[in-house]
Order: sequence, then structure tokens, then C-alpha cells
Amino acid sequence: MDNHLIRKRGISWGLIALILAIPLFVKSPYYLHVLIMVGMNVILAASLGLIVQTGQISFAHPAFMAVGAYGCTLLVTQAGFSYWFALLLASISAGIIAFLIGYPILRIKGAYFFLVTFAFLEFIRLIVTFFRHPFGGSRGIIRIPSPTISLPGLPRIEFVVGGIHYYYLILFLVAITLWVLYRMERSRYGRIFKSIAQNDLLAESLGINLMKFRLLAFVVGCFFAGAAGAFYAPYFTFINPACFSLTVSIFIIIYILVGGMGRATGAVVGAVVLTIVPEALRATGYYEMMIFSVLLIVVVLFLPGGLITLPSRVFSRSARERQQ
Amino acid sequence: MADIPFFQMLINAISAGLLYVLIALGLTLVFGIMGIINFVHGELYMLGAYIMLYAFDRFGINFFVSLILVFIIMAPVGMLIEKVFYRPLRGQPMPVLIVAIGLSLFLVSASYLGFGIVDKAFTSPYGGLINMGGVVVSKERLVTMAISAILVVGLYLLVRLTKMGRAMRAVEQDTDAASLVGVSIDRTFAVCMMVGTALAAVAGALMGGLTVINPSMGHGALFKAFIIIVLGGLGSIVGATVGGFILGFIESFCTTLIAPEVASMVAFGLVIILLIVKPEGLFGHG
Repeated sequence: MDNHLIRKRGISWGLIALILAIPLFVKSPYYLHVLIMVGMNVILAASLGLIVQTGQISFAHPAFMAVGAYGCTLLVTQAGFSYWFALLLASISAGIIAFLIGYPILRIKGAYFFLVTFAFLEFIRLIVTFFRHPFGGSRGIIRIPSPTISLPGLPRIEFVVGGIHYYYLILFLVAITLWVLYRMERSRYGRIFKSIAQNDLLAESLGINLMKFRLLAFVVGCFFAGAAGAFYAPYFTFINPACFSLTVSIFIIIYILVGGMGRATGAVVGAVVLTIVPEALRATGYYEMMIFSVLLIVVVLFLPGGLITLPSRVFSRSARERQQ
Repeated sequence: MADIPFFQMLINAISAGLLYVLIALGLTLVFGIMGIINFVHGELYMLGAYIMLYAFDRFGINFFVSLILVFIIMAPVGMLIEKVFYRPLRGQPMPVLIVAIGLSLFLVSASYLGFGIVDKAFTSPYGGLINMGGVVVSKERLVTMAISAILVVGLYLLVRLTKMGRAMRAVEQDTDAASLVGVSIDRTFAVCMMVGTALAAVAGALMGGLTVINPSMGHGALFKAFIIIVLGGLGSIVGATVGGFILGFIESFCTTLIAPEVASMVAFGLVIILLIVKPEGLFGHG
């Protein structure tokens, strides 16, 4: 038992060391970019996964990403804030907006919830498109400055696209996101979320305040979507309404469903696999979309638990075969 | 801007409204009877436009014969989608929505690879304008509006008067009770998807002559259809008709008087507010 625990600890520390050391042996900016995209998709999928855990599939996640991206950019360029403070403030704004909109819409269910979150996403995109000042209209904002770190006594660090800075920044954000989400999942909240997802009426009859917990998951999830957006803006150096379309939410939902919903690990597995596989296959554009769509249909029809349930399915099947 | 007369805006609103009703009709039928959001509706619309493009424009088949051809080709596609993808997930609306999204992505990407990325267009045989005392309408719009009106009334009568329509309404009210009294759920849903798909495709075939045709044209149509069915009340044919006209009016007047983005903003804003305070739609009950 103890040995097992030590080995498990050892594996996770080894994994962390490996992830930290990756830029030492991966020099190609392309591979670094793929890893950074993995990180961003992990944040988006895991944070939306939290909301999905309470039984509500929100299609509005990119809207909160947009709040983070536009908010952070404008705080830096218009108000002259430092990137780090702006990142935090923009994420908090996403959380506040999630609270304000979540309160009325989270009581809506099923198809109607899909429609209302979809409408909210489009509404945010239209606001950003319509108000050319300060959002730049449909052309968006270009030449977004990169973050810098200047600590007393140390040389000023300027973030460079293609360099290792963004890799460590996204790693830091992924670490915070997953730490919070895993802590929540393993606490009382995680069990409450699960009970709500399984049967909300039963959970409510047991005295669980549905609205309170759904709102909590929604606000926390959208906070991290905002953080992902605040990362996105300087990394790509431009943002426009098309960056936050319904297609983006569909892709995030595909990560979650293919990986396996109900657990943060599922979303992480889905985001990692589905970001790396299309790149490895050099399947871009329409081919990538085609692979995703087929995967999505196959998983929903034949593997409702997602990829994370695959090992146990395979094992239980082979065990059954051995018994026979 | 200001020199566009009120009557022109009114006519624009009515003509846009009738076309929007056509786009939303199949979606609202499928939602009403089967309780699912047929996300692939937009792509069925797109395929209808492409079939029309090839049949009418490339092969020179008569306009109305081509329309019937669209109907005949696409109706079985709808039945197939119901049988293969929706039936195994019956009773689970969210997984059905996700599968429909998968189908929609698949059809869009396959169409880009198959039909190419270049925008296409065809001109309907009804060129020219009709001038009614300063208010101008194009002939092809009038023809499309007429066909749209016929389809709306036809669908309403189908659901109201025929045996199949009665079965559909029975299933809509209570699936279990309907199957207890001998209504075949499988057959009713299959017919429902056939009609819904054919309506989407015919809408695409008719609209194809008025707009450009490309594989992602279904997206915009689907967005409009969502707005319409929420405004009028999900699942009701009369509601979709009313919703279509409301959207037509919002777009015509807001676009002319303020800006196109404002029209969509008002429409989506209205959708959000309605879903929060009155999810049964402006004119629905219960």
C-alpha cells in the first residue's frame, strides 16, 4: 500500500519534472506552439468540464474567453495596467459576468439552455463587432503587446512568440486551473456536482441548493475561460470576434465528450489527445474537422463514457473472456 | 438611409419574414414532435441548395421539377439520419444534439472537400423587378414567397388533418401514451425527420437563387432559424410563422434605420430575455 503510494508519487513528480524540462530538448518553435495549444485547450476543456459536471452543457464558453481577451488587452493598452494585473482583473471580470448572466439562465434546462448560451455567445460577439471603439469591430485588435517581467535586481524579461516564455506561462496557468479543479472535484463539492449531474431532482429533494452549486461551477469555470482568453490575446498578438465563435465552443465540447465527461481527467485527456493527433497526422482545416466530427459521433454512440473509460472496458472484456 | 420609404421597409420585412419562416419550418417541426434540436438542419438546407445548383443550373432541369427532385433526394436522407443516429439515443436530447453537431461538422467539411471552397450562385428563371407605386420587389422573391406560403399552409394542414399528423401530435403530447394506443413511434419520428429534412432542403434550394451558395451557408440559416423558433415558441408551426415575420421586421427596420449588427443584437437579445422570462415564446402557451 505504502509502496504503491510512493510509486504513484514518484511517477507524478517525474511527470512534472519532464513537463518542466521539455523546452530543454524541444527546440523547434512549432512543437512548442503545439504544446502551448495543448495547454490552452486543457484549460478551456477542464474549466468547461466543471460546468458540464453539474449537468449543464454551456455553449457560451468562448464568450467568457472573449471577455478575458478583450478585457486584458484593453486594460493593458488603454488603461496602462501591467499584463499580470490585467490578466487577473480580466479573469475576475469574466467570473463576475458569469455570475450576472448565470443567475437567470442556469435554471433553464436542456435544449433551452443550449439556445440561451448560444444566443449569449452571439450577443457578446455582436457587441464586440458593433462597438468599433474600443473593440476594433470585426477587424478586432491587432499588435497586442507581449507581457514583460521586471523584478528588481533581475534583467527585464520580454516575452517572445516562439520562445519558451509562453510555454512556462501556460504551464503556470494550467497548473493553477487543474489544482483548483481537482481540489473541488475531490472535495464535498465534487460529490455534490456529481449527484446533480446524475439526477438533479433527487439531489434537490435531498436538500442540495441546485442554483448555488450550478452557479459556483459556472463562475469558476468561466473565470478560467477568461484567463485562457487573457493568455490567447498576447500570444497570438491579435483578437477579433471570429476567434470566439460557436465553432470554438463545439471544439471544447468535443474535447470533453471524447475524453470523458464527469471528471476533470477526461477533459484533460480529450484536450491533449485531440490537439496532438490532428497535428501528428498533419490533418488541418477541413480534414481536422472531419476527423473530429467522426470521433464525436462514434464516441457519443458507442463509448458514452469517453476515452478515459476505454482501459477499464478493455480490461473487463478480457477478464470476461478469460472467465469463459 | 432616410430616403427609403416606409412601405419599402414593410415589403422587405414581409418578404424576408416569409423566407425566414421557410428556413425555420423543418426545425420547429422536428423540435415539436421529437423534442430534439436538429443541429444538422442548416447543412440539409445547404445540400438542398447544391442539389438545386446542379439539377437546375448545370443540368438544365425545369425549376419546379428540380425542386421536386430536391424533395425526393433529401427526404430519405432525413429518414436515414433518424434511423442511424437519432434512434439509438432516443429520449436523450443532449446526446442527440451533440451527434447532430457532429453530423453538421462532417457535412460542412465533406462539402468543402467535395464542392470546393469557391462561392457559387445560380439565377432563378424569374428575373426582373416588379414596381408597385415606388415599392420594388424582385420577381424571384415573389415566387419564393409564394412557394413558402404554400409550404407553410401545407405543413399546417398535414399536421392538422391527416392521420400521420394526428399521430405526430399524439406523440408530441405523450410518447408513451401514443405508443400504448398503437401509434408507431419509429414510423412517426421517421416521417417527421423526412418532412423536416425535405423542408430544410427545399428552403435551401429556394434561397440558393437569392444568395451565394457555399458549404457554410447552413450556419447562418440555422442561426436565424434558432432565433425564429424561440421568438414564436419552440415546436409550433404558427409560432415559427409569427417568429419569422418578427425577425423579418426587426432586420428590415433595424438594418435600414441603424445598422445590420444592431438588428442581430436586438434579435439575440430578445431571444435571451424570452428564454429567461417566457421560454414558451411570445405567442405560445404552456
